[in-house]
Amino acid sequence: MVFKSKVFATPGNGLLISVKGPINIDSIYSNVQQWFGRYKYDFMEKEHTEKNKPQGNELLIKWAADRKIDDYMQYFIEIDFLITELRKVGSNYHAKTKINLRGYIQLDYREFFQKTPGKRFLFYLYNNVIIKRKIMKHKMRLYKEVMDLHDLFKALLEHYR
Amino acid sequence: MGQIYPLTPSGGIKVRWVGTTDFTELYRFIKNWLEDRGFVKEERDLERKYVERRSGGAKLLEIAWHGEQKISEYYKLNMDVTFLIIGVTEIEAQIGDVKRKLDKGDFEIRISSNVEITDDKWNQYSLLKKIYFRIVARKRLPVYKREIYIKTYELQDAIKEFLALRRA
Repeated sequence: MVFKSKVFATPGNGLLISVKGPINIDSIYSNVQQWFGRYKYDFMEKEHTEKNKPQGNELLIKWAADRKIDDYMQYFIEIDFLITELRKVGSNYHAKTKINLRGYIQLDYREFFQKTPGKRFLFYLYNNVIIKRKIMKHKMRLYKEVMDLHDLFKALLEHYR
Repeated sequence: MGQIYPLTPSGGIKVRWVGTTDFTELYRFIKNWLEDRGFVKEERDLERKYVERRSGGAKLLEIAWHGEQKISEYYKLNMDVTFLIIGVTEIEAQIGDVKRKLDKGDFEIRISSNVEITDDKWNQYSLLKKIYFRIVARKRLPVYKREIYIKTYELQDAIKEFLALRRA
């Protein structure tokens, strides 16, 4: 395996959770933000789009969070939410939900090694020879964190299944 | 212009609502929010762009605001708000006992913020500038980054509250 500047802990397209049924968006919001706080991530809501449609509201929410490991490595977790046909049924909301989770390690996030071809060669050597084991260890660690978040999502959605 | 430390993605963070709202009220609300938090020194400096196009019965609006807050001679907090409003038509809606005129369309608001080092006065003393930044000013940078980060998300939250969107 050759490491480039982005090392994905999840598949490149991310992990997908797809649910049709009751959903509690407020609970997902608060629990996921708390989860990022617990793992010391800097959380950011990149996008919040809501469309009022006759078949029910449509929501697109994009979250991104990052955590600096050291001066060279940074963990990134990105979540895309697509909620369609959101309708109120009784006291609950029903919708079609798709959640996409991506986790990756950004190497050389300060772009110190990206300026010249010589430095890029050193970057390649450094990642694939000197710190290869360290990257593998961090990849596993990030994978576990993403899976923990994945479990949290499933638990939050399972409750209503 | 000195060095800039961005806090949001390059395109800014986005809030979008496709539906009905009172845009005049929203416009005033965001303007007051920026004024209350000291991002508007003079009203004429705030609005950098205002484009309104009409086709048929619908309006298209492009508005760009630039708010800034000077913290010290060295640091400045910048906040840019961009509105892109497409296909706005006026409708009449019954709210309680009152009939109100509202705007129906696609409302997109982008907020981007950064911390800027305004070191123009220091440019003639390049060595001194480096020493001052490394020893004194650098320690304050994370504090200001945090401050503008919190304010950016407060504004995003306020807009979401105004539009009655889901919030944390």
